[in-house]
Amino acid sequence: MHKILIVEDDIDLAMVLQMNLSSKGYKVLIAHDALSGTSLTHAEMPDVIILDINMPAGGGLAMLKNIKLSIKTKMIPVVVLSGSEDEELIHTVLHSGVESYIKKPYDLEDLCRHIKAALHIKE
Amino acid sequence: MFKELKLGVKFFLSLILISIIPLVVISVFNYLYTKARLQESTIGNLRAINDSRAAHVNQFIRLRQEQAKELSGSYAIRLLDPQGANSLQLTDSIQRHIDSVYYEIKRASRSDYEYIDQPSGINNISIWDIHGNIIADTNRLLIGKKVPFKFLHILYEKGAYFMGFEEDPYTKEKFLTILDGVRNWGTEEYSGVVLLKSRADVLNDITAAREGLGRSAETYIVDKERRMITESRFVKDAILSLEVRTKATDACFSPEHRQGPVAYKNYQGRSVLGVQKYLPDQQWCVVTEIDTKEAFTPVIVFRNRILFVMGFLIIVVLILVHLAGRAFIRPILALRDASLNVARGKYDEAIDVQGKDELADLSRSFNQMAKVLASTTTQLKEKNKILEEQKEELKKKDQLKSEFVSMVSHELRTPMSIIKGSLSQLLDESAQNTKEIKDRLLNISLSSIKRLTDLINNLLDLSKIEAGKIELRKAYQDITGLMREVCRTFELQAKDHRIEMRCRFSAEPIMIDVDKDKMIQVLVNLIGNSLKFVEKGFIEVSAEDQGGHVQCMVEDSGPGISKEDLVKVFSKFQQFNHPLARDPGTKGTGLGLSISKGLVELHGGKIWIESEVGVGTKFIFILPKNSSPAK
Repeated sequence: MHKILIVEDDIDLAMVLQMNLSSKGYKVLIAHDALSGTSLTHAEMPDVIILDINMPAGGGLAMLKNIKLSIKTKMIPVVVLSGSEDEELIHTVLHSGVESYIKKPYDLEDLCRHIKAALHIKE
Repeated sequence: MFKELKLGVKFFLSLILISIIPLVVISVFNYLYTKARLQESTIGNLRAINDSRAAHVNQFIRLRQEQAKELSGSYAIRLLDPQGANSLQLTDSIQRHIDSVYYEIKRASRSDYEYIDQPSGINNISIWDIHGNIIADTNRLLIGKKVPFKFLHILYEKGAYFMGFEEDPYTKEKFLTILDGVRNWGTEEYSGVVLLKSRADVLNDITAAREGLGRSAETYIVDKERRMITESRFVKDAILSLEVRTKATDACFSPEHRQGPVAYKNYQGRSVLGVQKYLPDQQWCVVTEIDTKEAFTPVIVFRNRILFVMGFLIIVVLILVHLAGRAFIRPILALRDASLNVARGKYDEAIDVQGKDELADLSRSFNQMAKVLASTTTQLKEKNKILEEQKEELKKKDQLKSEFVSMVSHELRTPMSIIKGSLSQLLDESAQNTKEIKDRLLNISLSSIKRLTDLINNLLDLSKIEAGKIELRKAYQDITGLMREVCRTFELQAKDHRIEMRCRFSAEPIMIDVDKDKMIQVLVNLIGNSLKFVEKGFIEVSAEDQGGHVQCMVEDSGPGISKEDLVKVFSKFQQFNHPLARDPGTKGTGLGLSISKGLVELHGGKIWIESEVGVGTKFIFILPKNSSPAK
């Protein structure tokens, strides 16, 4: 069973995502901020991370950089979930070694496809 | 070429031309006029002299002729035989006769003919018979000789008395010979000739009188063979050997004997002024000439004087023009330098203006222009600065706007994601959704929709406030009553969270002119905000009449806000996701405080926040009693 870590500051959305992915047969972990997300990544070593890039105080981007800098975690594929229109931010994210970039509101099928692809690459 | 010169030089040249040209014209005219007048008077003089000399020559010849006639008419000579058969006795008496006449002529003092009154007046008297034999002669050596006299018969036929110059065949001397035929006393037939011979240079006595003729003037006589028969003043032994062919003599000897030109080249090739007179009896031409140079000496002196004066004037004018030019050019150069300075942006270097002429005026206006330019430039720079600042501001605003749009998009997309995710989950048949899960998903969706609605409403409110399109429906009312009402609506909610809701108002009503709905909105936002964060303790709402205005306060015992976050509290979409924040249901839009601020300010009031981390937060706003919108 693949482990997926969801890092999303919106509690409701995190819960819905958890339900969505659990019913698809994944083991889902949740973090509500960048700090706990990072520590969970190191502790649990998830197979895929779904990261909301628009967390308060630029937390999403900070966490992404943190993960990609660490040798231990940089192989974990990251699927970025974003509601941002900020082109500069999108550009930065796309050049930070993320697997996929999905715009909110996400399409569940689409999300699953991206997760599968990310898992495939990892293996 | 003139165009390429510098202004100073142009000016210089123009002035010189203007001043010198009339001078030159006047001088030249004067010179030519004087010269013509001088020539006229010179010619007049020459003509007078020429006429007098010609008259003398005529007189001289006539005198000789009379003398010859006198001799030929004497009794002794008239006794000559027409056939030439003359007795020795006769010739002897003739010889004696001519000797005595010759002696008398030689001796006589003829003061009335001064030119003839010379010892050399007559050199020889000769009497020939009809065959040309010299029968009597003052030169006795010639007596008895026969002269091959070819003119004799012509002489007889024409009654001529003048022979012209003749070379004596025996002495080879040249003589001016005057003759007269002798007629026999009885038969009146030609029987001999009387000849009076003068030395060839006898006419010099007349022509050599040169009083009033200066250094180069002369009178000479030319015969029809164009030989000079008097001495030349300049050529030695000219008599009968110097040929004179000038325009003057050509004219003189032309068939009509016209007057020749007054200015021509003489026999020496020199330029002369001259007059001629033709003597028809002798077929001579009397010429009087003067060297042009000498004739025009006065005008040449005059000319030289003019040249000298002109040169002097030119130098004076040059100096004056130079000085005047500098006076003109200096201000122009100053203007040029000043305009260069202005071009370089130095407006404060004014021209030192002297005088009251047009250039000074120009300089003054230039200074004024520079002053105006300086102030205009300063104003422009200031305006530019303002524009630059405005541009920066606009840029900032633009950036803020795009950030705002980005934020709005984000804030809209999150609840939409929740709804979409929930619906997808509910529709997924493979998922084993329990009723509990289904209810939860539906509830979450509902609250998300509420969030979206709130957000849209808030956005509309905010945009209205910012655009100043909101209308306050003010009414004069007791604000404490209004606040009490709001407090009451929150009491139950507060109780649920075990929070004490304190409402502290004075007993007397505080009357104020406000829009009730908007005030309620402000209070709901502030109290709701506190309720979101307060874990335990209280929320206190109070109002205080401070004379001119009312101060309202919402105080809580929440976690407080750090100093760096305080400044951002009233910004849009600033949500402080405090770990202690309430459950998801209370999630706000991040616009409430911005709207509150806008509404308070619309009432002409002011809102601010005081907070201390770990102690609590105070939202305070004041409203003026006689509120008039700030903007």
